[in-house]
Amino acid sequence: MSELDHRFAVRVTGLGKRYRIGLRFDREDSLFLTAARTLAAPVRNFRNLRRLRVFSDDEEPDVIWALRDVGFELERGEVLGVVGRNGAGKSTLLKILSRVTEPTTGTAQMRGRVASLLEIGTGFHPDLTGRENVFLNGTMHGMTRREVAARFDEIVEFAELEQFIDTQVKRYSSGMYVRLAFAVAAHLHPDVLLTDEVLAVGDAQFQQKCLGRMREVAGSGRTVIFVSHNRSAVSSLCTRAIWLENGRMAADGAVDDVLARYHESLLVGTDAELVHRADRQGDGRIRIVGISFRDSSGERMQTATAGSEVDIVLAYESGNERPVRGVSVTLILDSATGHRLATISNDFSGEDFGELPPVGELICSLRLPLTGGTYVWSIKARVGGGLADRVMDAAVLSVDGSEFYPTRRAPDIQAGELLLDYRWAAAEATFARGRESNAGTIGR
Amino acid sequence: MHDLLTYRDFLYFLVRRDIRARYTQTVLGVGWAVLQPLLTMIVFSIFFGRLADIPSSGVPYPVFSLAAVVPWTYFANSAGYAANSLVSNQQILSKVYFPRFLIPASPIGGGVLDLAIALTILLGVMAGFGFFPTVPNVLLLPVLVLALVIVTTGVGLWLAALAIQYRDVRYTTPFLLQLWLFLTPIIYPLSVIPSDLRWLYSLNPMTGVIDGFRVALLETGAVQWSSLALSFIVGTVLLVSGARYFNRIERVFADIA
Ligand SMILES: Nc1ncnc2c1ncn2[C@@H]1O[C@H](COP(=O)(O)OP(=O)(O)OP(=O)(O)O)[C@@H](O)[C@H]1O
Ligand SMILES: [Mg+2]
Repeated sequence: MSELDHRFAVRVTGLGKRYRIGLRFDREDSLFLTAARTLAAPVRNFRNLRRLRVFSDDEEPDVIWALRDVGFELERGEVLGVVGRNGAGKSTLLKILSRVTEPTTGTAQMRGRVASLLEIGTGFHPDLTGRENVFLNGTMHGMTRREVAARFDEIVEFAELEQFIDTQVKRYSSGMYVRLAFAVAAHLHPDVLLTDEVLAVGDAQFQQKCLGRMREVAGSGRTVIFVSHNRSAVSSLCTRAIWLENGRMAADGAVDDVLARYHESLLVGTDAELVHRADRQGDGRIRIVGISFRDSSGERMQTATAGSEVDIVLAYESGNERPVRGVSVTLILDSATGHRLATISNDFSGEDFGELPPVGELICSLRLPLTGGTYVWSIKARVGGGLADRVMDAAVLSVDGSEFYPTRRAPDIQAGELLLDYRWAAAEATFARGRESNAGTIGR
Repeated sequence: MHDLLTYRDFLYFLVRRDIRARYTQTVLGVGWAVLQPLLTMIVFSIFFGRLADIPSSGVPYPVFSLAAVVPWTYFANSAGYAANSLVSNQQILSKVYFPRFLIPASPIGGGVLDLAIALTILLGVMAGFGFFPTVPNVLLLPVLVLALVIVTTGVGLWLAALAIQYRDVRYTTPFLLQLWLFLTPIIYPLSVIPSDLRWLYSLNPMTGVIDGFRVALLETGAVQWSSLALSFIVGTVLLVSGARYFNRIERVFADIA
């Protein structure tokens, strides 16, 4: 560890993890049977036992690489976001970094004390009081008794559990439990903090508090690796991100770039193949089967020009092949980093489609005053107020923001997603004073 | 080793947790540490001492059996808890890193408290029968406790590492410990074993320990140095091999858990 370059807090090279899926099923679970088989067929059984840890070089069908050739370096104080679909290997990466499991190939080096929060509240014991659990949990994460004692008051205050700290945690509400668990974790003061989906618990207010605390930890020069499906949390917390796809690194770079690319990948082909999306919600009385974007002359487009008119064309089918009434459609616009920008619906604008034929198109015309980048649309359809169809992340649209202002210059997406239509003017000083007195009048 | 220093406070709280969980969830609390050996002694005295009339080296059967039941209870309970320990802590094992052997070490360490309580009771019962430990013999006691802990740790590590891989180990452990009890001089004295077979019998590391307890406290005969030495040797072999096996399996705990 000592020869590690001083600038680096984490160095991962060629990391791979192989799992044998179905491991639990094809191996004998019983020592008795294993022994009996060993006596009956010693050679084959020895091979079976070794298979658990030793993998032959040729690919076997029941083996998967949960992680393959992953490499990156983090400097002290860097905050890395890790994104990827379910099963991409994010948790596996953190398990290796936290030494819970060993890599099959490669190495992971860390400088300083590492604390990992792979699941909030692990190891809390229901029969122990809050106080005892704080000590048990803190020391389990590598703190000494004295360190826990020194931070004890801070932890209890953060959890807002002063009155309940000597109560057994089995009498806690689930919210109290999670608050205490996070409070312990948030006060570990490690050099490297690894967190996996920690914001997935608790109510919105608590999540906000956790995020704030994570920001503080990150701001205090600690190295943080943050795994989350919450794109806006990743983009607001992290400076850098890696995207894992089937165990491999698909991208590594500035957080907004990586998030945008990751997001695009989620949507590849979706606008053409919306009809095949199976992850829908709703009763299906109407289904949105296609989405496309057209310019004013009716040409399909991949990239919209900021400020010019766009038609969003939704192809629909009614569930029972009969005309439908009372349809309302909502389009939700998110930035690639997960910020919700707008929700548009014919309900708000008061437009009624009347009776719709069994198959047809719904067209929404609008102008998009957006900075250049990629944007994501989700769709909801209701019939008579009941949810009929919902497709999240249904389509992606690129926007070119460069033509919005006459100068052909525009801020980039880091400066905000919106391009507003504005005018400047200069006025005499009296104007400003007049406004001041006006404000005074309103105030009174 | 560095890890052990870092995590020694965790071991302390883990032991406390295990003791608390054992005592607060039961009707009698600490009472079980007292009652378990006492009840065993009563049952043994009635059936083996009185009805079967098993020889007891010239001391009353109740003290004769209790002197063996006390260390045996420590061994059987701690090894049994250790066997279950990894399985019942699977959730932590797959989420947090710390030296894994702390998990089985906790019941083995925590059991020492029960052992101390039970030894006090044993001294009380001995006093009731007019027996008091005398000086050269009683000095053997710390050595015997050491041998007891070594054997228990060795067996506990083996059972823990096997139990997390093989389901049947957990269920058959109580049965195996029951058999083991009969293969150890607990309800009968070591002297009933023919002396030319005694070395074989003493390969059971608990033989030297249990017989030692009787000799140390009740002066039932001469110290069987060879049996005691075998206890240490076999115990150490179990401990070292158990630790190595445990270490090897440790790496896949999180994957199979
Ligand atoms: N103990 C295990 N045994 C066998 N396969 C495993 C084991 N743990 C994980 N895997 C497999 O490894 C792959 C990666 O899993 P991992 O939990 O790292 O995904 P993830 O990116 O964290 O997903 P999610 O977003 O759902 O949390 C999955 O295909 C999973 O089935
Ligand atoms: Mg995961």
